[in-house]
Amino acid sequence: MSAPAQTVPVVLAALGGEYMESALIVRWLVAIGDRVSAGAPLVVVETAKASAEVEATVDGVVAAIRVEAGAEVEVGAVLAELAVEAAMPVPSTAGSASSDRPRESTGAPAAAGARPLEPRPAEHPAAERRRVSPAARRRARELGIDAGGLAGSGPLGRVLLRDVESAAREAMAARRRSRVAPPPADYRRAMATHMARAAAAPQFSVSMDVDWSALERAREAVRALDVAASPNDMVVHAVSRVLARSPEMNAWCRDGVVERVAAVNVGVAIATPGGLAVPVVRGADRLGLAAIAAETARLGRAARTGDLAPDDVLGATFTVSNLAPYGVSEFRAVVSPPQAAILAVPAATDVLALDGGRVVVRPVTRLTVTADHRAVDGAQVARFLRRLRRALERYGVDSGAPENSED
Amino acid sequence: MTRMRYAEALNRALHEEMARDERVCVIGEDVGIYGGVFKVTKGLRERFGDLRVRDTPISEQAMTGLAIGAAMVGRRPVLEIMYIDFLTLCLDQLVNQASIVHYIWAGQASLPFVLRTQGGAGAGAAAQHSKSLDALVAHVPGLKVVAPATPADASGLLVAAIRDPNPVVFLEHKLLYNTTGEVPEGDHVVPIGQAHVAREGTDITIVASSKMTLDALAAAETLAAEGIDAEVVDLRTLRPLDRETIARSVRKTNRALVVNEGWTTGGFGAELSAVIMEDAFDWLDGPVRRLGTADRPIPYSLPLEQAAVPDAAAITRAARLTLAG
Amino acid sequence: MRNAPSAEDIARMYRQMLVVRAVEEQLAVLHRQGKTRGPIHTCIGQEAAGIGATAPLEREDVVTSTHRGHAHFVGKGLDLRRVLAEIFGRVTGYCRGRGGHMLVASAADGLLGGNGIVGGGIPIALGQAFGFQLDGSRRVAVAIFGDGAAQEGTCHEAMNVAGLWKLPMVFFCEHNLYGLTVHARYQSSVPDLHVRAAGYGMPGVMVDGNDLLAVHGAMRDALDRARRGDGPTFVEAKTYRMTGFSTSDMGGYQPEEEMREWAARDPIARTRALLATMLDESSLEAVERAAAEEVEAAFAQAMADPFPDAAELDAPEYAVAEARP
Repeated sequence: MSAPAQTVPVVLAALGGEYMESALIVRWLVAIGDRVSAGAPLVVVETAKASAEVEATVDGVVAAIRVEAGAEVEVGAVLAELAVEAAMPVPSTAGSASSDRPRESTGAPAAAGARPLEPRPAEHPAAERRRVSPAARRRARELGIDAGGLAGSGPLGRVLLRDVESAAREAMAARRRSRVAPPPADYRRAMATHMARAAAAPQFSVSMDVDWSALERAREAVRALDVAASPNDMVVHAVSRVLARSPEMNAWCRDGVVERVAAVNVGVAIATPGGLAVPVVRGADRLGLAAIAAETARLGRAARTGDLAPDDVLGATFTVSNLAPYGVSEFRAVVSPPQAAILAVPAATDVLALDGGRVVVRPVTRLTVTADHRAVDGAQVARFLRRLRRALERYGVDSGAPENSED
Repeated sequence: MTRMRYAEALNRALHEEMARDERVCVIGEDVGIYGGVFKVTKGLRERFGDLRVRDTPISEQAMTGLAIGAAMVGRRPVLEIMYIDFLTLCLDQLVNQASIVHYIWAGQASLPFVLRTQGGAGAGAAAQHSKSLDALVAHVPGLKVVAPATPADASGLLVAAIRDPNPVVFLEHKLLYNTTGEVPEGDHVVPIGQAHVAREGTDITIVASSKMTLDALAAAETLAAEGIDAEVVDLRTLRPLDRETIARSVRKTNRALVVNEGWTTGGFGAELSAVIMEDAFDWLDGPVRRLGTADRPIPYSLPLEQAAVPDAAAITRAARLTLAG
Repeated sequence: MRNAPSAEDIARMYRQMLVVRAVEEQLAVLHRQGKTRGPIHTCIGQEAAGIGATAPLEREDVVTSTHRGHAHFVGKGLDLRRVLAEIFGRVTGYCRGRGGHMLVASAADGLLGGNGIVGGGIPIALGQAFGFQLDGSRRVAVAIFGDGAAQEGTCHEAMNVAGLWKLPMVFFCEHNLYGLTVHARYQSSVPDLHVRAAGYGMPGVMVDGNDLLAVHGAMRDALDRARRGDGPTFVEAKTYRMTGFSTSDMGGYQPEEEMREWAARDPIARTRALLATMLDESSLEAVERAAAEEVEAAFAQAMADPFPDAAELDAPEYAVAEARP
């Protein structure tokens, strides 16, 4: 192709919903000069709650990389530039394309970034089914866009791949202009009902301070290992191991009847444009850190695009709620029935401590478990917290938590 | 690299393989003293003798059986069937005998023989000497079918076919024999079962083989002047088909035109079209278009023959239609 | 002058004829009970021809057989249990159950192989003989076929080439008077087919196909001639199919009188009478008992053998390495 190239910016979009302000650039997956196609991952970023890949939404060549790995950047920042070629021409009628027909330009510059997020509208009735090419259909599915609702530029108004790509770019731009729309009223209503039921349970809370140094060291180790895992993934990793040894905490309480559950299914609270979602990492005690990180990343994506399947949200035996990114120093979460307990993870605070007679500064996090008193008592929760503290203070990427218990 | 004609490239491959492996023998009508009607077997009888290079009676059926039987007891025969139109006379031996031996006999015997033949229109040879019957043989499990477009591929694929332990139907084209191209020196082998991208492009994939590959490349140049960047996939082997290369190309361009010189209905293009639907449906921006010879016996008179058989101009038109479809 | 077969040789062939007869009678019973699959073609009444043609062969000689080949399988020394397993579609069969009764082949025994296409194996034997000629070996290829196949083009093409090139080959025709359900008088321009040999530059011999020693002798002469490099022979053995074309044949076209006439010439009875002049009754009975026991054991074993797993369908389409008899 000889058409002149133009560059389009790769912009950091809000991956995690309205609360996300910035992200850490973990690792570039491409280099200047690489040819990438739409959908190809460009860079791994880490937000307060999850790791994610920023993908190209257009085909092109990496022309510039604007931010180094290790830097923290704000939403909206330009991460890189892609050089793209002008779009291919559109023959207007059968067999009549003239030989000197000029190429058409794309008009608005193409943007690139993380998957645009639009709530999926209802399917169009069959009678109104629009012509959509298979390629456009596939891409729309990937992007969570309703291709049938787009204007088609193909023959007989068929929606083509390029129409979907351009709709995706527009959605991105619109998204950046105005923040996420308020969540649907019925979702909020459902959540309110659920929480009211939760409040009816006799709940109590127990807190314990945990030295966060090991976890911060592990974060460095994880980066060196090229595993895209966030601190919260490590907490889930450690919690799942401790739960496996604390069956009384891994339980459901229904109508006062307590049932210990064999599987360790850890719910992870995630803020989404539509409100709070608590997808589930199933069998977390049998997954390594990388697998847990991959699963939370997948669940995070699905939560944000509204693609969570019933299997993704049902069956949690314990929940981890992490508000560390917001800098809170301490909080209590509400138990989600029928689960027996929930762990609240706030941000670490630097405290002065004595280490062999020297005064040192340590990051300390005050963990709080809230539990349903019908299922567990205070001593059981305290023992669980003590095990968890030990696991976190000796956290290792491979083990998750030391096997030997202090009791 | 040596520049040579397609027929010379085949001839060189035969000379080299006969010299390399004394089990290789050449049989067929006119292949000995005359050197083949297209001179592909020139000089072989003089060099390797009339035992290994055998002029045969005009008995295509028995000669095909002869190749099978000789292969079964350890020879590596290369049988020339002068026109693909005569392949109909060989079909029982190919379809009911050769193709079944390896599988039905559960691997007790292999049949390393090559059936070389040539097809195609454009020489005014009329209805019984101008066909392309690729689909007929490519339909049959147990046979391999190759259809090279260039001298280099003709030479490399013939070597591969002779060394292959299975029956290989080697399809040449009468209008390709005098085309020229660079052929690598040394032990040049082109593996059976691998297509290649003869021209890279971004807007449409044209899948072709044999002479149609050259026509598709010419069409791609015309299309380029119109701003359409066509990718040409040269199949080289029809069976086993390299579905991967076809799918990869269509996934890139989102448009596909399949071209085969055989008759359109039930032709090899139908197979290609189905394969693209199966492997790349979700990457298509429009229907696959198929171009083949008109569904009529191939007529003799020049304007009739030209109207019946695809050429570069027809491929160019079909590509534009594909993009508009 | 050749050596006449000894009493021991004749007794061995008699036992093989009994095995073939017992196998086929038992297959007919099982067929009526619905325990076989597909049509079965028996050679009841033709055992002297089938055994006489194959028993004199050496192990490295090869045979292309027909759809009515049970006697050839036994005469060429195949393992009866594996033949029956193939007929019953078992994985222990020569072709792992992929071939069935018409397509039994044993590369190790030079039985290459049964054939469901009338006349299909003749040009393949031609090719085998061609391979042996190139090798300069003393191996011989034998094409066995019926009077029906003698009217196929393959037979004429192959005879011409074999006579022309003086290939080490024997054309052995089991003339059983019927091609399918139609008498030879409605199929052949001449009542005796061996006269055609003259037109193809080879000797033609006619023998009483129900006379084991006559068949055996003619075959020995033909093999000697082929091994000497003097070329092919056409041996016509006159015999009679005492049953229908296959198990699906409704009958009714073979006149009673003709049936009675040939039953009186039953080759098994004649061979027994011949042997009775050489062996005592108890020895004869021992041979008969051994044959019956062999057949009974082979049926029991084959019918207890496992079927192939359906996953075997996916066995490779192509050979990856050369395999040959």
